Amino acid sequence: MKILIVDDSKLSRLTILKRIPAAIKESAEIFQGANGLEAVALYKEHRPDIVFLDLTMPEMDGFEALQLIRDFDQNSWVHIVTADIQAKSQEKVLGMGAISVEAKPIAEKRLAEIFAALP
Amino acid sequence: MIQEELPEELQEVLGELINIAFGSATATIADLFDNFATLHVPAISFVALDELDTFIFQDFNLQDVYTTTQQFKGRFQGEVVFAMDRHSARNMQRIIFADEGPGSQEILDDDELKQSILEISNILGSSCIGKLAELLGTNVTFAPPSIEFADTLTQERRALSYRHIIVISTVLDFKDMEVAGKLFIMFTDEMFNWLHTALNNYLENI
Ligand SMILES: [Mg+2]
Repeated sequence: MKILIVDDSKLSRLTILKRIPAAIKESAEIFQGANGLEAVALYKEHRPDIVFLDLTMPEMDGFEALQLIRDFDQNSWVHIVTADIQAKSQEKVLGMGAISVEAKPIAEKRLAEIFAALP
Repeated sequence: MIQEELPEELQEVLGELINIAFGSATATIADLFDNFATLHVPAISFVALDELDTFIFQDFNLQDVYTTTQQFKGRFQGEVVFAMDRHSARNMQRIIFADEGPGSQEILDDDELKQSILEISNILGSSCIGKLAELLGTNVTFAPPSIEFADTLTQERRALSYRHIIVISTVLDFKDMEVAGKLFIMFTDEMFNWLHTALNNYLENI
């Protein structure tokens, strides 16, 4: 399985990384990016099975990156992990095709559910 | 000062926790007024009490700045101060009264402006600090906020030995309307030590 984690905060990437179920982590290839531009480039290069994407980032934010990823691949599987928990932000990204919006910091249990629900 | 005394990796932890806390505070305000704010990567800096004036006034005019202050108590305690200029205060008021129909956008008197400022600063300060405390595994209670003249702020804080100040330069970036301000979190040496330990624990238990 290929996993892409994109967040400008190293701590937030580490949080997701550490909390991914061990059984999945063992056999997964994990890629990391620090802004939206890297998210799009890494997505196109590796075609990950699942993406964890932050919204508030420099260079290019997660809204724009999500749009570009969705334009490139209608079947992309993107979970937003963000500090932006505004109702209108959630509506917006869900409307763009994100699978879910998770408030930071994401819990280990929630990550297990997310992987269990992968098609 | 935090910059020298807190290891870089813990500064990073603090930065991201503040980012999460500020995001949650912004959402509370935006959702409350059925509005939407674009979140920006928050600029966080650490200053000493002696530099506070410089920090407040480098972006604001002295006559124009409104500061609200609120103490918080608990395992982590200190004071949170929100400063903004008159232009931002007016914008904030427009956001609050946007729903009230024609005439409501007219300039209200200074008392009403102050009420609006208090209300928003209260929500912003307490939800930001409340969330930060929660992330660090504790909770805090808040005294009611009050408006204070910015030019006496530093002077009066000296007696409270707040040696550490975290500054979050904030923008509540609503559609067509910006509220720019600075949020100061002030605390003592003792609280700095507590924060240091709490951040360490957080990092170890991710
Ligand atoms: Mg971010």
